[in-house]
Amino acid sequence: MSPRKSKQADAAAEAAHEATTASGTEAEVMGAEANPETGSIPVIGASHEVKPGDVVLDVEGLNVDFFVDGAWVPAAIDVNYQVKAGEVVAIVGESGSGKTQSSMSIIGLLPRNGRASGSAKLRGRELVGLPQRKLTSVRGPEVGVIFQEPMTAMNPVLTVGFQIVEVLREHTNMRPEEAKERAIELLRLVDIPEPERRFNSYPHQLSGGQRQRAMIAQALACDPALLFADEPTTALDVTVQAEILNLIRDLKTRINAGIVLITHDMGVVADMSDRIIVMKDGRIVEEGTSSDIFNKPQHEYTQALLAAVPHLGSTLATKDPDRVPKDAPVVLEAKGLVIDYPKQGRTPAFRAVKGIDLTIHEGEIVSLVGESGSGKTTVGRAAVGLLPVAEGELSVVGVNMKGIRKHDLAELRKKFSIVFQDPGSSLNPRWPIGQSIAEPMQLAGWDRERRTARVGELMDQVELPRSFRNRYPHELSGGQRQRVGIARALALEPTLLIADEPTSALDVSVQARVLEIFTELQREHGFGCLFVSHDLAVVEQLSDRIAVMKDGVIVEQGTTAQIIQNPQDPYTQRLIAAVPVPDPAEQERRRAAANA
Amino acid sequence: MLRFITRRMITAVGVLLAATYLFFVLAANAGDPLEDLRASSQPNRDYLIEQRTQLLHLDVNPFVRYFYWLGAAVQGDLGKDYKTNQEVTTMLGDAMGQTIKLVAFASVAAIVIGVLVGIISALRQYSGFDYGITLVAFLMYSLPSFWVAVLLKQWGAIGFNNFLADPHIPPVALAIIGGAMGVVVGSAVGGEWKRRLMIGGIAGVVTAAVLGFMSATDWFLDPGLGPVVIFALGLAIAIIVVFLGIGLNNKPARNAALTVVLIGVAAYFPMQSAFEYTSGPAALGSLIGFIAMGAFVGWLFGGPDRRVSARLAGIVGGFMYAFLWLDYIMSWWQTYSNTSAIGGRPIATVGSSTPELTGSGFWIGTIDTFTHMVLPITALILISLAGYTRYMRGSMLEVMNLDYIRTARAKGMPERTVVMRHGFRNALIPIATLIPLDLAALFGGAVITETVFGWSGMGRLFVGALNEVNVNVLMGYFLVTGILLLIGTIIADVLYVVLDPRIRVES
Amino acid sequence: MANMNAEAQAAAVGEVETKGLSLGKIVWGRFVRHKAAMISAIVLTITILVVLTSIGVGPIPGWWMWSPTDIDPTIQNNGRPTLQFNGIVPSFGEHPFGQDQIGRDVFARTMRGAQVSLLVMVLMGIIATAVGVVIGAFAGFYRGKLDNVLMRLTEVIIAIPTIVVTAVIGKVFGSSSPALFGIVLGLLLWPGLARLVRAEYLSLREREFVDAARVAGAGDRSIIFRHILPNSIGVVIVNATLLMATATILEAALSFLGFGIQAPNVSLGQLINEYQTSFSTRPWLFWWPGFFIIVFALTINLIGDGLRDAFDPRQRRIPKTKEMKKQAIAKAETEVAE
Repeated sequence: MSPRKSKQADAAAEAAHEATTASGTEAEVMGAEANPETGSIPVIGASHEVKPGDVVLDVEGLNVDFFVDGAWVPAAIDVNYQVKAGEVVAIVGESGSGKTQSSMSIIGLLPRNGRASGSAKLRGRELVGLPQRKLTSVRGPEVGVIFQEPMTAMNPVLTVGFQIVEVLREHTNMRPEEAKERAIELLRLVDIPEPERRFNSYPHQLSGGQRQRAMIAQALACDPALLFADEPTTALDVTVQAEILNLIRDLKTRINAGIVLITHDMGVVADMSDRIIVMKDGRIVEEGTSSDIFNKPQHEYTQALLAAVPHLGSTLATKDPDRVPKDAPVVLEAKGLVIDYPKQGRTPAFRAVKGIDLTIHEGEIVSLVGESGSGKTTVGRAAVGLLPVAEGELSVVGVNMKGIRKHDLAELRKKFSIVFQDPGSSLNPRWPIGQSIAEPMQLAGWDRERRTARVGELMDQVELPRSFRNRYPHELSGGQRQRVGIARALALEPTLLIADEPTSALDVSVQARVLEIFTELQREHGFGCLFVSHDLAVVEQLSDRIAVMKDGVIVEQGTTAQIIQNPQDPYTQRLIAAVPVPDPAEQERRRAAANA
Repeated sequence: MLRFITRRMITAVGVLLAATYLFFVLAANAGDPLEDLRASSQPNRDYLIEQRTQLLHLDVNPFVRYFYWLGAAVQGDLGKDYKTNQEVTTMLGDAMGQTIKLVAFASVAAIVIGVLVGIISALRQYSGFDYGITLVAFLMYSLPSFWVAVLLKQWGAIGFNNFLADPHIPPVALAIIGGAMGVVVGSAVGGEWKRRLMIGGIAGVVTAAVLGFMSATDWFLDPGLGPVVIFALGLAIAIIVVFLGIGLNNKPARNAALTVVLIGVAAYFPMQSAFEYTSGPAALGSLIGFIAMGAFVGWLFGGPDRRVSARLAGIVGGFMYAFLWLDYIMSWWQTYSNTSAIGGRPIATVGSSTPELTGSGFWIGTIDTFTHMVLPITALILISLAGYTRYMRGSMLEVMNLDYIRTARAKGMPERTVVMRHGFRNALIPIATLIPLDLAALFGGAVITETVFGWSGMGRLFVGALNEVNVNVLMGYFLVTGILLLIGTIIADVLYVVLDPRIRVES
Repeated sequence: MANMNAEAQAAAVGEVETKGLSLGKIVWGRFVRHKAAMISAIVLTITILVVLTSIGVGPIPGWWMWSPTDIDPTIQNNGRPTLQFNGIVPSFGEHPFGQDQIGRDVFARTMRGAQVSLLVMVLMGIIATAVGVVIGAFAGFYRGKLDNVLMRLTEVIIAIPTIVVTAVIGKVFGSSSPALFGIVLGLLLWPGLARLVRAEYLSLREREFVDAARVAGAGDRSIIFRHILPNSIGVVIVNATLLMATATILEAALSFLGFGIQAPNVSLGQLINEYQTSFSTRPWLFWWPGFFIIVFALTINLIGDGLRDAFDPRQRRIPKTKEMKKQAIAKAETEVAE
């Protein structure tokens, strides 16, 4: 088949003439070349014109500002870095660090009140300041983007296949049949089973992991030389996350592109990246190779960040199996517990928990670990009476929860409480936080004086200034809001506290702080705690015992040390193997062991 | 799906029963059907009262009387109008026909314009155009329909008819109109100000020039388009349709559309003779013929997107026919205007037709209907337009802020595709489900508009019946509108399932 | 994470806008910035003041010289309005809105009509809102059977075209007292609001703060009224205002058709009905009442829109390009100076 010049080649030629290069890399104008990886369909992509080690992205003095309320507020300041073909550069930071904004500004995807200045050269071609019309020919063939939330990032009324085909047809001269073939190839490349069938599926018909794979296929469709991955696995389960990371690492070697990985998860970073850039408040505070950053962090922020990341296996030495006396009173006991999740509109009722046995003593922290759909949250909710017991036994603080009457439940509610995951939505946005903390007491009949005094005490305990009591939730940060949630949960001195993923929505350093406060409080007050989470590293830090759930059953439970060091059940083993550890050397060892 | 529809229909019937019952009781108590008789001084007054009472079962309590009505209604007998002794069913049929004429045109126009303006407004959010349109929309929302109607009568009819006596537009007016047009187009276009100035300027100058030409040549007395103008219009439509549908880069689509335009122009003279013998059904047939011709040409031109080309060329074909048809009917305008019944004042203010002109032939009859419809339809459009514009704008704004729009841009899709394929397609879903309901409600009769313009449709029927407390007619009216509304709801639900694949799978 | 706009702006804006302010103050701040809404609010207030005080309400007298029923035997100026503008300064004369065929002062009549229309509108608004909120809240919160029943009821009422049922009602009640008319209208127009409130409750009841309140021991009533309602107040207020604007026009339309307020009561629509035949000879009789209808409807609509923008947290003001460029230049200049 004779090579056909595509639009890409035209654009590349144009770019070659326009580019003012500092490093002297000029784009070559080539005819079509078959890519041995993807089959015999000739496609021009920028990645074919790049050799491993070439500088693909050169950012110098990049500034991003937003115009808010009459003034320009900086989001990223003086950002400098380079990305080479075939390497993964991770940009790490917490929310507000500017990592996403700076990357989006390079490809011109800022909102209308944002602006970028400085320089960002893609293969020698200046992108900052390029008008949108020219940028559309850069996005796709030269740069691909993978976003965080695959469900909302894909158009729900178009099929997955069509969304890939439209990219191909827009940037090349492919005919519809050719584009369809190529799209199916791409779906196969990202390990989607039955790609021909999936081609005609809508995004909501795919699982979370499959959707993300489809997004990756779409981003790679025109063989770009640079890939931005913005929190690609944050919205996914741990095991799925591991698979996607494997995929990306695999692709890294095959597609010869530079990858910019934007994330806040140090574990993911350790697993994937060659070089790391740490950002805080819009500035780069440190950069270096992966082993440099992890082993010899220079900047104090980097050090603090690394110290705050829960490291699987690091706290096992400090665990004392006899911390809680064996004869301590039982605060929660479940035997053969079965819970049904009620019918919600169209989705029928289903059995979320299929029979579990669990015991929690006063003063001990038992964690319930699992991925989404395992039923762990359901157990937590049943324990506080938000869901009815279908079958089996569940007794909380000695009271049988099955068929419990409203009046008895109201009495019982003074003895336990719950901390929710999303501090943003677990506090009533229209109530000042003092009122939210006081609510349990007010409902229990305490008088105003006593309530006010106690609210002050509680705020001290969670280390919030008392002056905050009249503030509204939206005025507090995520960590502060979660502390309010904890204060509220402690209001009536509960005997049992359920913590439902209390730190999953928080930044790493904030999470560390909140967990610290939580552990202290638990030691002080001595309540029994059911800690529900998907994050094994966090769970290891504070629990005495761990129970692993999958598909509504507990597959394994034991002391923390037992589970982490010596998992018996294959699912538990997989789970532990999938947790990325913030130490590149160790991560490699684990990978090698897993692949052996 | 079938189960879903049947379920809804059963509930609908239940709701209808309850509603009709409620309404019946209300209507029965709305006044005294014997009022006029009681006040009369005729000798057989008592006998007449007795007779009417028997006819309308007035001796029975309304709560029970309902079932007399229901019993007959289920068998298809809706009773008689006690004043005129007409069958309610025939009355409804006639009134419905009249109302449909109004509502169909008005709704289509309001929807098309509203959607268009709404999209542009959303894309140019916070611009002068947006604020202007929003303000105008609010103004129109806040106008009482009867006020608008009376104003239209004054300026639209009397004013325009006066204008026709001496159809010259003074240069000052030309400048103002041209200027206004230029400003509107300029702010709608967007982009850097130089481009906007240029395009706005051209639009303004063209408008003024065209109007000036029309004024100088007494065009308003004897209008027509002619092959040249038809060609220009056809070209404009072809460019717009192709641009929106697939982008002007697509050669086969472009060429197909162009060819269709040329065919349309070439058909000008043959069509003149064909039109002479045309009637209603034949016109419809020809329209379909032109659309099919266009689609065929599009298909012939091939290319990888034949089907899209065919669709677009078909649309252009339809428009070409419309232009030819318009041109021909315009040639009859002068004749119409000069008939004695019209006497040079063509725009009518009352009624749906000029009685002296019945049987004057298809073309005169059509013009006559048109001149009677123009004002009420304008009134209806003005009122519905505001709603559609706001809805479309809101929906579009919401959609354009969603993640997948950003993804589409990140893939390098040109803005046109992002807006049309990703934005508009999704934004249309809530609007599409709104339309059946709105249409159904409008069928109930634009009560005010029909009253003011003397249009004997459903609305007028209702007002008259209510004044006379003519329960049978009222119930008939209510039954029809109620059924339409419930059907509308069901269609809206079905549409939702059809358009949104997320809902489809679950049901 | 939400989309780009929300995330980027939240990161940069977040604390800046809302530090130390309660929701009420934030909403007020945003409302004040909405120019059209503010102007409308001012205009509406002034209009209402004039309407109420000029001819007085009930036993309280007003400052205007004529009352709506006074007949001035001397027809001034052929009954034409005596309102003149010397440059910008208006001089009112005795009958600024003119006189009708029998010599009554149109200004006074229009004011009375406006009062009645206002009364109907306010009564209708209050009742419709109260009923709509309660029904919507219970339907949305409890779902299941109660929801079904309430929604069927709503559908029944919606199935009847508004103007039809209100016309029938109007014929029955309208001639008696405007207050009664307003109340009855309110009892008919709540379904739209109920639907919206129901939708709010359906989504809000799934929020975690409701669960948290339950675990803390709150009962249903407490959750419905103390927790969820304050969070839906935005929707309620906005739609109540829009409903009132619609009601104004509806009342006018009904009175115009003869099914609403009827003589001897006076309302804006009734006035237009009464005077519609004299449109060609005395157009001012037609203009002024219509003008006031428009003023009421428009200002309330715009206020409602302003409120809607103020309550919607997603509505961030994206500034004009000109403004941004100006600031950028100013900033650059200060940087150079440093």
